[in-house]
Amino acid sequence: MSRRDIVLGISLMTFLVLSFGLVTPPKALASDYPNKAIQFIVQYAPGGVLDLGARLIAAGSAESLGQPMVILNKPGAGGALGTDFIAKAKPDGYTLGLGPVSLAILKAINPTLSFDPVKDLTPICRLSMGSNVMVVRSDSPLNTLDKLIDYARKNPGKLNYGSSGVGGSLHFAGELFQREAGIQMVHVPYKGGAPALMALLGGHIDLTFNNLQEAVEQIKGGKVIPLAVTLPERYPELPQIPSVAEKGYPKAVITSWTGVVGPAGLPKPVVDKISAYCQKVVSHPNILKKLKEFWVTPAYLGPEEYGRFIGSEIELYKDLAKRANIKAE
Amino acid sequence: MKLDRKESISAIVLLFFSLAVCFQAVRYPFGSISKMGPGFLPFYSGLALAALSLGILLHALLASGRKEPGLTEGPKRRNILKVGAVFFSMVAYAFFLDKLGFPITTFCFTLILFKFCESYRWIPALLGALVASLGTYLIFGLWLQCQFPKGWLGV
Amino acid sequence: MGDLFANLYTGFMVSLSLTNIFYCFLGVFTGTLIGVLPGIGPVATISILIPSTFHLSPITGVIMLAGIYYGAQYGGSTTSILLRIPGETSSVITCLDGYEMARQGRAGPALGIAAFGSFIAGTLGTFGLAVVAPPLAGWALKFGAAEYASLMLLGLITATFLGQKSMLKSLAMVMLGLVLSLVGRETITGFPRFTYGVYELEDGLGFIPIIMGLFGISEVFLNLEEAMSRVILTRSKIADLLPSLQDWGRSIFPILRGSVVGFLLGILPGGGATLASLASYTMEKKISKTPNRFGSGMIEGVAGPEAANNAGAQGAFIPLLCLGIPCNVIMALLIGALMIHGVQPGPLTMTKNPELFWGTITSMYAGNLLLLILNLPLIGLWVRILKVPYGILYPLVLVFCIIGAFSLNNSIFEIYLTIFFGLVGYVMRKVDYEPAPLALAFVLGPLFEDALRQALVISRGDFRIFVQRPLSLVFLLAGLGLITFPLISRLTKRVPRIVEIRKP
Repeated sequence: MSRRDIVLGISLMTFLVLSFGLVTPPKALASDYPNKAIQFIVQYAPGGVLDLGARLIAAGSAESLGQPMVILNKPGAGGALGTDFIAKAKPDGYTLGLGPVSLAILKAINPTLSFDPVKDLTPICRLSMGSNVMVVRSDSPLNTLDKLIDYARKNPGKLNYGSSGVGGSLHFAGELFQREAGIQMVHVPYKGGAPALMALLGGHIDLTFNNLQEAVEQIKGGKVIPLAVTLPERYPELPQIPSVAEKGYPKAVITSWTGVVGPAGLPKPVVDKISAYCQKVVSHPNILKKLKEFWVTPAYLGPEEYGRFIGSEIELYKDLAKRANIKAE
Repeated sequence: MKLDRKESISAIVLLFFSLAVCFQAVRYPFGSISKMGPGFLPFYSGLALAALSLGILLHALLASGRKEPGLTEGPKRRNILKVGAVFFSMVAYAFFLDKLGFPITTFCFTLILFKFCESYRWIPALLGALVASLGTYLIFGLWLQCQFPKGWLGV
Repeated sequence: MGDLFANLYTGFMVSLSLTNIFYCFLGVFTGTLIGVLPGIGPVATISILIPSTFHLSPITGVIMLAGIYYGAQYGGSTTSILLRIPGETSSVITCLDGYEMARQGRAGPALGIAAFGSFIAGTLGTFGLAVVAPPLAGWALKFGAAEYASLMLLGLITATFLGQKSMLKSLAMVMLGLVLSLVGRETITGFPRFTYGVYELEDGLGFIPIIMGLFGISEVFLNLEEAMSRVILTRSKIADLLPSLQDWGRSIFPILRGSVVGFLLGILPGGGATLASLASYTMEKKISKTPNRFGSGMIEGVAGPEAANNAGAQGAFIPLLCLGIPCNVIMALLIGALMIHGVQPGPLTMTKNPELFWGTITSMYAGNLLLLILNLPLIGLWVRILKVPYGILYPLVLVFCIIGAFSLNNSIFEIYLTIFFGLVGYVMRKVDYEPAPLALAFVLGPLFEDALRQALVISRGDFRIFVQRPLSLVFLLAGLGLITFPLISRLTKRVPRIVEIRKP
């Protein structure tokens, strides 16, 4: 390998790099948004419910917006990795992403978070809310909410409840419920809702807090008994399950939610356009049907209200985290 | 003696690593054996590792007599350089991947390997690099829809 | 019995329709392909292809996606054998003896026995699914945190025996793997360990980058340095492409044993498939009359584990089909795919949706058959790849590994991780430390710690839970046995020798 080869090699590569630059058309003027594909960040691994939901949203964009929305999965750190990426992206409207409940949770429990969901993100719109349900095994003697609370009050610290993980929305649901009902249970964290459900079925824990769609089939199959949904009213498609509100614990209402956000400083026309598109999608009958199948409630909110909503959720989780001593160091 | 030196050095490195792990683990909430904190298992695993590396070190120092005869005289210098070159090319690949984009970086990488590490002639090396980069771009980028990083040239 | 045949008949009527066979083939073909390509795994591919199943019926969609899953098991062994690059967690074990067989010019028989073994295991697994699925599902539920912890501990102990050389070093590698696996946020309190503020480390070090680096890339470095050793690979005769009768004689029982073990372990959530191949390998090594030759090209070390991990893939469907609960990520994806079609699997699937239940099961049999037919002729192709001059081969291998590492999480960090562990693996090889115990301990470590601490939460800190629960006790005793047995036999072996020396 001679010196001549090295020189030749380097000059060749430089030539390549430069010529690519000349051949590629210059960046289009940002007059007509969108005029190229939009990158949509999903902070979770492909295949999860949030990812599938995002793909549903993205599916119609080529038609309605004229440009495709391309999903880019950036999972990790409970959603922080992807959200950080959105926060640090250029606010030109070509990098957007999901705004899930983890935004609020992360802010509440992690003092060293590398971004601020209020200051570093532009809320675009809220899309939907997911419900949580408390279930016990079908052969459990504590088969109503009242019986459970009664037993728990008489035997503090005896019951085990499972959730999808520390600092997850279901963990918070569990802690919130304990606070409101004045009971004390022991939290057993699992890696996700499915293992927690399996542990419940196997008799290793006493009850679980699950996302509704995880538990529905077990409920229908008679393997578990739902005690309550953490909603202000009964879930329409499952009217037999009482709500925590009607049982006397209105403050135990807690839902997971998701929406669309972008980096801070997004120009208003971009926000409005995307927000209008999402509103159309979320009210489309086909999408509504799919959401129903996923046991997810459409809950559109415009940019300003969504921003306020996020703020109030952050306060809620901050409060809960302090009381339950949940933190992420 | 060369074999023993490798053994001893690697055991020492392992020892230091495990002690570092222990030192860090102690700073995490420890808990007790029935209520283990985050630091519990790392500390004891690190401790076990330290003990084991000590054992390996002692074994290497004490068993210096019995050695297989006629061992290699060590790797040829030229080949070590090659390994090093490939290693650093890979690091460079990772570094430039999101700056130059996938096709270009792959092209440069394979070109470097074909031409400079393997000493093929210019034409075959260029062609090979071209085929490699375009081929992998088509298979992985277009067919399997891998989401490759785009460089600041947009590719 | 009549019921069973009626059900199977229903199932085959569904799965043998032209559309379903076509999509089954597409699925297993794609699965084999991505299994062969290092790094890119079934998870990414399935999630990308889910939208393309929108216009298909739910059953067809599941058939295709399931095909990708167990097809990937077939393909994963190919790179393990040819290039020592494990593409999947379950292919790590195949690297041990499979690659050595390839180096001895026996790549063909290795690939062949892997394919046949997987087929037999798949057939047995499908049969198992049809017959014993519901009771097995119930059995799987009995596995609580305590049982898990004991099983994982047993696995860790077993991993020590994977090594051929110094026991001390293997044990050290197990500990090292354990330590590395603890990087990240731990499950019970969410506390970040060894992350130093780096987001990419919060979910732990990636397993695939580590094994690609430790096994595959270190092998490339080694080959570059020791330029002579590659000659062996190119001397293989094309005629010896299939396993000989003798190979079959040695492999048939490992295959059968591996199928049973793999099937049972595949049901368990989490580490099912990795445990399957590990268990089979260890079992064969223990049963064998020549345990010391494991790691230098014993065909039993390929046949058993390959059968085990394929049977494990079938077993993993049990919780999905019988309970509607996924036991690993891929099953969760399948549930997602079904939900998009408006079908939600649950405990009533067997009675409410018999076409789905039996159609899926029978299509797996068809899929396994297709895979065998697909893979056997390909063996000639794969072996020919070995004849490609290494100077052309290894740059491509490196590019594939880099792409594989990147595409897992679209993360450049993981590329660096792979390269780094390539270097580490290379150094390790030069000093006789083996990567296999490390890799297995790395997988089992977090599972062990989580289960251990979950069990202690449930038992409120009482350690007796591990011996009070019968299954857990069994595993612990087995582990104890594994440790003490070799010690005892070494002691008993010494005694007669001393006596003989004393005799004049």
